[in-house]
Amino acid sequence: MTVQNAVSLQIPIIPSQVDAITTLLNTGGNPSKEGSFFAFEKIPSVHFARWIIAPKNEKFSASLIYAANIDGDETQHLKDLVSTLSYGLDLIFAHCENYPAEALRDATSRLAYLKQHVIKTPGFYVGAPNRTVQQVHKEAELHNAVRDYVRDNGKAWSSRKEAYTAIKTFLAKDSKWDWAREQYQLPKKNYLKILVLALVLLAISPLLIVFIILIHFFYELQAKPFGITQNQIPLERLAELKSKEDIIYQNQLSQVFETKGGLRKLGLKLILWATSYAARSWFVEGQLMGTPTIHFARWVLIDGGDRFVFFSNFDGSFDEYLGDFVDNNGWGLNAIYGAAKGYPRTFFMFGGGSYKVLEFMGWGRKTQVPTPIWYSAYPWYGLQQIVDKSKLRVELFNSGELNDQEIKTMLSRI
Amino acid sequence: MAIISNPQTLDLKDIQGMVTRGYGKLYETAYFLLQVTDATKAKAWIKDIFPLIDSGDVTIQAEKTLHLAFTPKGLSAIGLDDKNLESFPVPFREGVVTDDRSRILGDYGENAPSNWRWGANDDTLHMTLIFHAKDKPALTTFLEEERQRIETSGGLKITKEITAHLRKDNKEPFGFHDGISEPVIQGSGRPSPEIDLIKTGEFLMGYKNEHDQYPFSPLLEINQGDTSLLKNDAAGSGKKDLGHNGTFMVFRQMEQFVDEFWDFMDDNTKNEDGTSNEEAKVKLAAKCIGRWPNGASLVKYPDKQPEGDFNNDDFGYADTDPDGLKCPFGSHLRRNNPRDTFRWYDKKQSLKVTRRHRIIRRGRNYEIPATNESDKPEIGLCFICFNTNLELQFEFIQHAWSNDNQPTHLSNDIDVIIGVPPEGNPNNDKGQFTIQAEPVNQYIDNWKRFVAIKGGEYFFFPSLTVINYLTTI
Repeated sequence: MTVQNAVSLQIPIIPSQVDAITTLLNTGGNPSKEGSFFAFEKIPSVHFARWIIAPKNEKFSASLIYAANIDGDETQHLKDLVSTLSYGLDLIFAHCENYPAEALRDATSRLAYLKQHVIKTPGFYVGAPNRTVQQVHKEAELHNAVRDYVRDNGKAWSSRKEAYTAIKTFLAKDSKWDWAREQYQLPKKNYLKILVLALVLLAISPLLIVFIILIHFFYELQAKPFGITQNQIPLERLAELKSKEDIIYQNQLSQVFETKGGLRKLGLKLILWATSYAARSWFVEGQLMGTPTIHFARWVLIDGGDRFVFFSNFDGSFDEYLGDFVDNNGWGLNAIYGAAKGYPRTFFMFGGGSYKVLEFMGWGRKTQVPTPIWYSAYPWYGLQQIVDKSKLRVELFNSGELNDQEIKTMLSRI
Repeated sequence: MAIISNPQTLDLKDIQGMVTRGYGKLYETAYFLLQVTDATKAKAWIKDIFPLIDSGDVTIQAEKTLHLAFTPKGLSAIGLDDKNLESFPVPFREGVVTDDRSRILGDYGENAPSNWRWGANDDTLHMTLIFHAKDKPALTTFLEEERQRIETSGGLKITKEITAHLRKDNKEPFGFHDGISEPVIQGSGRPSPEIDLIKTGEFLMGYKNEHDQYPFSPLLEINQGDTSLLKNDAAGSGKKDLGHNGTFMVFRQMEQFVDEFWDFMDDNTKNEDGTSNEEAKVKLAAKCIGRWPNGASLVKYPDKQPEGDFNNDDFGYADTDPDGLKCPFGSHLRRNNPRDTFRWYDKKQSLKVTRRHRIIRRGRNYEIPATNESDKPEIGLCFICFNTNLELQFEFIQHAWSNDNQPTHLSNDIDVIIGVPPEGNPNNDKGQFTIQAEPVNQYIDNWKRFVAIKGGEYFFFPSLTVINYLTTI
C-alpha cells in the first residue's frame, strides 16, 4: 500500500537575488498549469506541491522553501525532480547559495544539492491517507460511471438489493475496473497506538501541568494582546494574497512564524510530534480534529527552529478554513501557534488565542506569505468527495456481500 | 423546539427600522441611488428628512418611511475623514466588486459586474434612500415629494430610481412564499423559534455575536463633528463607535428567469406521453427550493402541498430528515440554512456553526416593463440583507453554501436557485441536482441558471444617532 510522504527543503537565497527569484517564481503559476517552467504534472506521484520564499528577518536572510506531498519516498521524489524538472531546478537554484556552476551540473550534483537541503517535517497530516494520485482520479471516474448508470436505470429498481445487484453486474462485465478489484483497504484508526499515546500523556500529566503553569506565568502573562484584525492589514497586501485564492476548488495557505524561545520551543516540538502521531494513527478518515476539509498540512521548523512554517492545502476560502478551525478545534491551534511570536494571547495554553476569531484571522493574514508556485494534481476535488469515492470503490469491489444497511450507505454515496 | 420569549433590551428607537422590521403592510418600495454634489447641502438635506427615517420602535406605525444607507464614497463625499473611513471593514471599503470577491460570489459570466446596471464601485453611488409606502398611489406621491425636496435642497443628484414591491401573498417571482427563515435579533423584543433567535452582534455592531465577541466596528480615529453624540466602543478601546446600533447592508438586484424556471421543471417531469404533469412539476420545484410554494416545509409535508398559507420556521432536519429524503440536501433552503445538520457535525455543533452564518433578508420583487411589445418585462428580486460581518455572513453563505458544488453528500451540485459554479471547473457541464430517494437517488442533469445579477453594492446602514452625527461633520 502506498503511503504519502512529505518532502521539505530549505535553501538559502543569495541576498542580492531575492527580487530576481521572486520574479521568476511568480511566473511559475498558482495554481500551476500545464506548460509552467516548473511543470509538476510531469511527476505523477505529486499530490500537492509549492515553492515559497521565507522573507528575511533580523537574524536570517531570505530562503527558499519547497514542500511536496508525494506518493512513495523522499529519495525517489528528489530523483524524479532531477530527472524530470532539472531545467526548472536550474532556473530557480541559479539564485541560491552554493548551487553548482553550470559546467558542474549533472544528475549527481543536482541530487546532492537537493539532499543537502532536505529538512525534517515534524508535523504532518494527510486527509485521505493511502491513496495514490492515480487512485484518486480512477475512483472519481468509477463514481461517475456508477452515477450515470444509476441515473439511466434507477427507475427500474424497486429495492436497494435490486439496485446493488444491478450495479455489481454492470461493473463486473467491464475489465476497465480491474484495478479496483485489486486488494485494497481503507486506513483504519489504530486504537492501540492511541491508547499508548493516552497512557504516555497520563503518565507525564503532572509534568504537563507544571509545564502549562510555567507557560502561563513566563509567557502568557508577558504577552501583549495582538489587537489586529484583517481590517488592519494593508489593502494592497491583502489583495496580493487574495489574488492567488479561490481560483480552483482548493486553496493554499503558507505562513511563516518566529518561534518563541525556551519552553515554548520545546513545547512546540512535543505538540508537533503528538499531532503527527495522532494524525497517523487516529485522524485517518478524512478529519483532523473535526475539520473535514484538509488534504495535506504540515508544520516545519526552519532556520534551525528559530522560525517555523505552516503549509496547508484545503477546500473552501481562507475565512471558511480558519473559521472551521476555530469552530472545531481552536484549542489545538492555540497549543501549536502559542509558540509563535505575536499570536493572540492564549490562556493556559489551550484557551484564548484563536477564540478571538477576528484577531486570529488578522494574525493569520499577518503571518501569511505569498505562494508563488502551487500545484494540485486534482484541482476540482474536495477532500470528502475523495474519501467517499474510495469508500464506494471498497464497498463495490473489496468487500463481501453487503447487508441492507451497508447497501443503503453505499447508495447514498452515489 | 418551541417559540421562546425575547425580552426587549435594545434601544429600538435608535436602530433603523428595516433591521428589525419587514414592513409587511407597506407593500410598495423604492430605492433612490444618490450622488452628493455639495456636502453642506447634502447634510442639510439629511437633517431635513431625518424625522421620516423610521426606527425599530413598533409603537409607531408610520404609513410611509425612509431609510438611509451609505457607500464609502458617500461617507467621504459628506466629509468623513479618510482616517475614519479606513476604520471600516475591508469588504465595505473595497465594495462588492473586486477580482477575488467576484470569484467568491460567482460574479462572472452572466453575472459579471461589467454587465451591471448600477453599483460595482460606481464613483457616483454615494447613498441609497429607501422608501416604503402602503400602496402605489401613496408611493407615487411620496416619491414626488422627496424628488421635490432633493431638488429644492440641492447638493444631491438622483442617479437611479428602482421600484419594487411585496406581494400580498409574500411570494417571490418564482412563486414561492419568501422571507420565512428570518433570524430574530436577541433583545429586539420579538418572540422567536429557538432556532432563529440569534445574538445581537451578528446583526448590530456594539453587541456580542455568536462567537461571544464584539464584531468589528468602525471607530473614530480622528475627532470630527459633534463626537458627544457618539457612544464609546463597547469593546473597550476608549474610542467613539460609529458602528453602534448600525450594520452593513448588501443590496443586489437579481433578475429571475421565471418562464425558463418553470419550463425546465416541466420538461423534467413530463408524462410518458409528453404531456405536462402539473403535480410533479410543482413537486420538483419544491424539492429545489425546500418549501412548497405556499411556504409549507417539505420536512413536515414531504409528499403533497397542504392547503393554506404557511410561514413556519420552527423545524430542523436531524431528527426528521437525516437522509434528505424529504427535503433534499441540495435544496436552496437546506444549503443556505443547514440548521441542525452538517454531515460532519452533531446537532449541537451544527446549530453552533449555522448560527454564526445568518443574514436578515429584506428582499422585494421588482418588475421592469418591456420597452417594446415583443420584449418580456424583466422580473426579479431586489435582494437586501443585513449583517455585521460581510465576509463571515453574506459572502460565506454565497460561497461556502450556495456555490460549493461538493457539500455534504453531493458530488457536483450547486444551489439551483442562486448558486454559481466555480469558473473553469471542467465538470461544470455535468452539473446536477440530486434528489435523495429510495432505493437510489435521482439526478437532474443539464441544469440551467435561473438568476442573474444585475447590480449591487455594499452599504453602511448606520443607527439614527450616527446618521444625525454625520450631519455634524
